[in-house]
Amino acid sequence: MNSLGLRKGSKVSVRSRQFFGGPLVVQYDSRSLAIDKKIAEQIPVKRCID
Amino acid sequence: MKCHNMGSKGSSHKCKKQSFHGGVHNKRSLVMHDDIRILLMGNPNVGKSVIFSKLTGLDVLTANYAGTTVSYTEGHIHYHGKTATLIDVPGTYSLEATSPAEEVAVNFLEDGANVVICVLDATNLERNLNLALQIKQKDIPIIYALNLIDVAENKGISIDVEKLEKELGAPVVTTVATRNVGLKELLDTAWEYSLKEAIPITPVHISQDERWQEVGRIVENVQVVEHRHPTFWDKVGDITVQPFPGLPIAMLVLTFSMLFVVGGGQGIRSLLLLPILNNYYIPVVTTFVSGFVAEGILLNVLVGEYGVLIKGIEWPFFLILPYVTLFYIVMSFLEDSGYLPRLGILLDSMLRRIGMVGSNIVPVVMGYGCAVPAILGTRAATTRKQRIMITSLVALAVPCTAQSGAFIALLGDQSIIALVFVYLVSFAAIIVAGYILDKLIPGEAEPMLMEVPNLLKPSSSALMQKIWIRIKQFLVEAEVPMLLGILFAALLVETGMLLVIGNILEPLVAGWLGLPIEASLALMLGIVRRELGVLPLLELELTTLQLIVGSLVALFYLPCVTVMAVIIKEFDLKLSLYVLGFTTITAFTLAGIFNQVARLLGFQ
Repeated sequence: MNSLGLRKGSKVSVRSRQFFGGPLVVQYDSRSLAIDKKIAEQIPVKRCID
Repeated sequence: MKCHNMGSKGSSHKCKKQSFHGGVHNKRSLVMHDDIRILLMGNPNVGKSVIFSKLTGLDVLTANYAGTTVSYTEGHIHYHGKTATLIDVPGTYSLEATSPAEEVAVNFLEDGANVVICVLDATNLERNLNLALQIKQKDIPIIYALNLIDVAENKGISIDVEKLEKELGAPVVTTVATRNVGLKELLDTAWEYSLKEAIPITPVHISQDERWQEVGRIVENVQVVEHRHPTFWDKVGDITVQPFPGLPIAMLVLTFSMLFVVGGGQGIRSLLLLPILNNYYIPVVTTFVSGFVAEGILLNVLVGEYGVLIKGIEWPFFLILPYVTLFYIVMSFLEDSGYLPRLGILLDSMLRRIGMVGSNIVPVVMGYGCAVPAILGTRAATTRKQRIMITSLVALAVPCTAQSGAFIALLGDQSIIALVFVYLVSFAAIIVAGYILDKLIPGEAEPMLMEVPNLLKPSSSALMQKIWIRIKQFLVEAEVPMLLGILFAALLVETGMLLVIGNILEPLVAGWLGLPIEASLALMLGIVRRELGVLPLLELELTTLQLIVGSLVALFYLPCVTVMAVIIKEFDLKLSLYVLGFTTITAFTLAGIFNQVARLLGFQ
């Protein structure tokens, strides 16, 4: 995930969720990444108002 | 562009598409004196293959998602009196090889080159620079192509190229590869740099975090992002990954694709091709040949029931080609728009139940075109279990486009329900087989982590080129085996050997499967090519039940010889024997049971 450019301090927004534990689509910079829900759950996030 | 031999494909430059064996490359000896060796490197899906095909004039397939190039392609460029070898290296996010395709990239870099062209995606500078800084650590002169600069501008991203050059200490050429912008400058720069002696670099070992900090500092310095409202395609891209309306949209896309191929193909055949075939081609050829050849076996082999000049033209050109063409139009559109990975996201949770990862929907869908690129495409998958599963499923229950064409021609006219039924059985078989394989092969399906490409309106020239490459490939690969198969069939029929073999296979073909013994021909020809396991059935007058049974046998029957060879090459003999065994057994078991049950229920 690090080499995909998503790392500590990245600003992300969740674009979509799927049923039955499917992957989340997360947007950061100008790119989108599909991340398994199990991994996504382990990523600590802080809400920021933009 | 006059800088290279475009247009004279195949004559002035040699193309070598090579596979790797277990990721180990022989170390190359040093490059020849006047031969320049250029590596084209970068993140996945930044346009390396587009640049490659524009510079060398070679046909390579490109698509809008990561992992299109899984092995390297080599081409030659003649420019300013010198010849360079350009190598299209599979895309990689880092130099820590995590998949077979990435290992290839790392090995190339270790083998050395005169210059590396590192392709950067201007819409995603940060992540691209992370790789660039890693490549920079090697003792090879490096130049940068800042590609997709047009898309970046549309997104409101502006990059100060001069500053970036200073930061990287090397030239940066802005390019829009799909429209040939900047490619000549890129080549000039590469030529100039290839003469430079590599300055030995003492590799600085910095941690990942430090590298990202460096990247962050550079990006901050050179890039200005102006907020733009999302474009129409951005919005569509967002919508297609929501379960609602994403799933209904997916259904619509797939249904429309199928209708386009089936309906369009039937239309073209009945309105255009069949009249030409029956009113002009067959009468003319038959009359012509009869004028030279006396009646007898030779005449029959040429223009008889399985006449090489009749079926050898009718089957590939008048029957299969329309479907293959339409299929590849749809397929290329789906690939270049960036839609396929989105399908993978929507279906991931369902595919996971049969042990597959959503992102691997791409090779499976490719399998509906041809199993060979599908199996090669599994190199982008990260685990061996995934590779074996996709390969097995594609070999077992995914009909290739040529076979689909044959099914449509065989079943479509008599009963659309039968056609739909055969495809439903194929889907069911994929699910059941996937479930079983998942239990049999140890290992977990890895969590999904996949870059979602921007949804783009495909460029029509790239689309046309791609469709043309694929049709050409189909014709080259299909015509010779098809002719040989038909010649073999004609000889068997004319010499009466077919009946002898048919009598031997009678218990299986007639007793168990309820087919006429002449159908044994399909079993023999089906070994050569998948559609040849179906086409001979067209010549027999079969009931709907027999048509379905024959189609089921052909569907599950062993994949063609080419696919078997690819499985041996990509994996080993053992796996190919497994595939051979379970496909053949499944074919006869399922089709036979279906036949017996249907007959018990009173169907004929």
